[in-house]
Amino acid sequence: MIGAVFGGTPSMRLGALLKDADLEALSGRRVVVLSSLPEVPPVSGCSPRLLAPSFEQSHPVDIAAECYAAVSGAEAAASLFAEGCLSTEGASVNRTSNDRHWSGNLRLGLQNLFRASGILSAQNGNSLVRTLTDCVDDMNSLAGDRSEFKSSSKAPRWMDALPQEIRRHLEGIYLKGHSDTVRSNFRTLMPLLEEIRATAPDMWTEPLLADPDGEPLFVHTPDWGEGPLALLLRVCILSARTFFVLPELHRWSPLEISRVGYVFSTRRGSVDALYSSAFPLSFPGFDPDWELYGATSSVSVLSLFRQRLAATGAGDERLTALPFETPAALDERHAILRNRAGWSVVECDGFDTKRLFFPKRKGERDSYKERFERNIESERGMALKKDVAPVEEDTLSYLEERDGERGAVVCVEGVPERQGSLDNGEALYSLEGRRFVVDRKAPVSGRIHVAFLPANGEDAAEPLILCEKLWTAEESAGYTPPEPRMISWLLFETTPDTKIHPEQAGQAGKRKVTVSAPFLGHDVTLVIPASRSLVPCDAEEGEMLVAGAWLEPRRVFLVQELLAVRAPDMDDSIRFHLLLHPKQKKCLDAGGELVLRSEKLLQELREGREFGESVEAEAAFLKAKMKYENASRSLVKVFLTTLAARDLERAGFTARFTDRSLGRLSGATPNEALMLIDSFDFSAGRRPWYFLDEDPGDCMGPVIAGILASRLITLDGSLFSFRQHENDL
Amino acid sequence: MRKKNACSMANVGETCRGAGRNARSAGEYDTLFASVESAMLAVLDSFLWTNDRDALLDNLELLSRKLSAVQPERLRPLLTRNSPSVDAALHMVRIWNCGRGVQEKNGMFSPPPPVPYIAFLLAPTPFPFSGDELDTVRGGTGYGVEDVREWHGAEMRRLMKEREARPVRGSVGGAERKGDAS
Repeated sequence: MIGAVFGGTPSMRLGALLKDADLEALSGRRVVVLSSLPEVPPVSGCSPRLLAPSFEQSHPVDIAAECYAAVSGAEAAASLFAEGCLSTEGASVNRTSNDRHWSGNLRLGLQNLFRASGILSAQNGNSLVRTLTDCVDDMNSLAGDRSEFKSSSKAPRWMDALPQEIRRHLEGIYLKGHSDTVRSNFRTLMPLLEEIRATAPDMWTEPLLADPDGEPLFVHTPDWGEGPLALLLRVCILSARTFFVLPELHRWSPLEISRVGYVFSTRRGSVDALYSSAFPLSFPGFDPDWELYGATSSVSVLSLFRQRLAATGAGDERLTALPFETPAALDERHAILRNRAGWSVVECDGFDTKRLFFPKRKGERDSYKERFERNIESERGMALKKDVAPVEEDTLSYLEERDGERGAVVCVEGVPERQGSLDNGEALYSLEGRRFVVDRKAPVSGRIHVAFLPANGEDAAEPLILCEKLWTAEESAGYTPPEPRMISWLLFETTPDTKIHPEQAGQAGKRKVTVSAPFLGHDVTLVIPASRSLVPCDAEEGEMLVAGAWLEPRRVFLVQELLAVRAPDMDDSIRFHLLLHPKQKKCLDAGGELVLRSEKLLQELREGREFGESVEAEAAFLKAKMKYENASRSLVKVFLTTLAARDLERAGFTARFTDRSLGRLSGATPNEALMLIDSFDFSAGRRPWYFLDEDPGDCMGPVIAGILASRLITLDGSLFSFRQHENDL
Repeated sequence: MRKKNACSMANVGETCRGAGRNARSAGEYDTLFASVESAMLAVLDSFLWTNDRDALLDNLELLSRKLSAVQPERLRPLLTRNSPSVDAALHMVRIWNCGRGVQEKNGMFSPPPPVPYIAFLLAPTPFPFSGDELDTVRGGTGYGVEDVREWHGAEMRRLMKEREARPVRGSVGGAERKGDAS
């Protein structure tokens, strides 16, 4: 059973959570607090034992020893270990892979290595994990030494101590297997074992997780890799009557929530847990079997409350039989409980958050100088040859390139001046002090042009793109550029069917034309300012460029400038589609649904219904609103916590038409650069907690996150890499 | 230090959707208020996604029309009420002297001022506001019903004017002067 505490204050939520945890501990169950926050709550009045390797007070855990203690039989323990390592989400082998032989080999190899660590453990005082990883290092080293022509390697000496059956498996897989298979096997295994090694003790360590009568534990989830965390949780679920407590889930990172949620969802039915969160979460594994609602005005909590009411048939929107009919009507000392017995009001005690224990991070007390000296000394100590130059020339040039100078692009605007003709059929031009060459036949006029030129490239290089500016307008009837301001570029195509005179295309005030946007892979509606049109075009059919703002993400574009591409000839350029990151897609879909539901609700009013008569449409709208809020927060968080935001800032997308570098975002083709933004207001991003860390009743955060997300949807999805923000590394 | 959810009621009656009141005392009004709030959020959310100001004004007109069909006695208790969710959305939308956006002061974002949006929706309708209501029903920025009426009139005039296609800077097909673009 999974229970949840929603709404209320942090004090109320923690109070309810820990009261339940204490009751479970009294009944003889083991309480395990899982948290991604470095705040340790007391369980039964005492601080639980810390399993948090990045903190000083952490207790060592040998995950291999835990597997041996969790199940009966060494083979079952080996299976548990291999399954935990290889089938976790994210850093794992896909168990549904078609290459079953390869996956089977990987699993069998790991199981036998695990058995070997147990068999060899009597010979040294090392931990089981340490023994296992040493064995893998040996085998990997042997595999690396094998040439393409050498069919097998000589077995390491420690294999002499292994029983024939296990030795035969290990030899067959690692020493006599095809060298490519063995190498790919190790390429998969090594990262998994590295993350296990990173948190494993060196010395022999007795198991403690599997003890059903053991003391309460606190597992700091970010400290554990994919495999170790999955194994820790599985051992707890398998061997002990564990009761999991997960405080303040809404403050966890989505990655941590999904990692724990994955284990919970795959072990649903075997997991007993209680979590608290200011609002409901959409991650799998956390759908509660029962809930406790604290006082809240959160739309998402109230929406869930109404859904549960409807599902249980207890009422439409209110519990009329109870003294408090909705969570919105509660005071701080009461909560509404829904469980198998039905609905009831319960009293709740607050928890004094001063009682939270904040453990010390390792090295936290060291000064930055001490840390630097220790780290750099450690690195220098690893150099094999002290007399080799520390940085090779290639490295320097690479670093220069990374700094954004080499390969960067500048955006220049002005009237090109022809300097002369070259023998190879090109013409030399100068634009704002920078020279470039284009095909002599390129139609370069004496009007304003915008050019993207290599910043530090060869003198008089070809421009990435040269456009003639056809017109500029500031305002458009009925539309205003949305805030925060973000100027985007869009390359589109006109065809003979394109209505290039919008005033002839529809009713007044709706100056829209539909054009094909090849880089988006679908049509886009352009909103054209009054008295403007898509003429002059060189021909009825051609490529044009507009600068402006997205009104509706990836659908409706407000044109503020029209430009014609003059060079290079883009007929032969490769058409890349802008990527859509999964989180962008989710947000785009959720935003579209929100608008759809909004329109449906308003349409019912338009058709004659009165306020309060569109119950279903209203509920659907509120549900869509919650969905969009969650999706937008998720996207904004990815943007801010990866290098995406910094990449954009570094690339100079903060000011328009200046000499600032476009950096590596200019990419391989001019089109990619043009599809990116060149102006964006990042000010809200400096206070990420404002819209990512929702407090009960907070309404401003979701709105800002929603607006930011609607802008981020229009960016190329490749920006949203999963690289961690440098501050977190 | 964080500063959140500062939906202080400057001049507005203290009621937010689910702000801890005893729901029974005003159940009927709460239901009406909740429905109007949902519809208003639908209008604002739709605008924040599409940025179609014409559609926003049309939708606000729809809500005004629907509200004007409700008996004044049912609406009068709601005139001073605001909603944190609506306040937050209005903070990003340029109507009724709202839409100031996220502003930072002393390292904190300014909270959205409360807006008695039902009264403001009723402002351009024949709803019989009393003299006292016209004086006292005001949002956190001091904006009142009469101000909204003026805004509405000006907005309608501007809208009509803008809808008539009129030339903007430069000539069609002509080149812009250097520096005009920025």
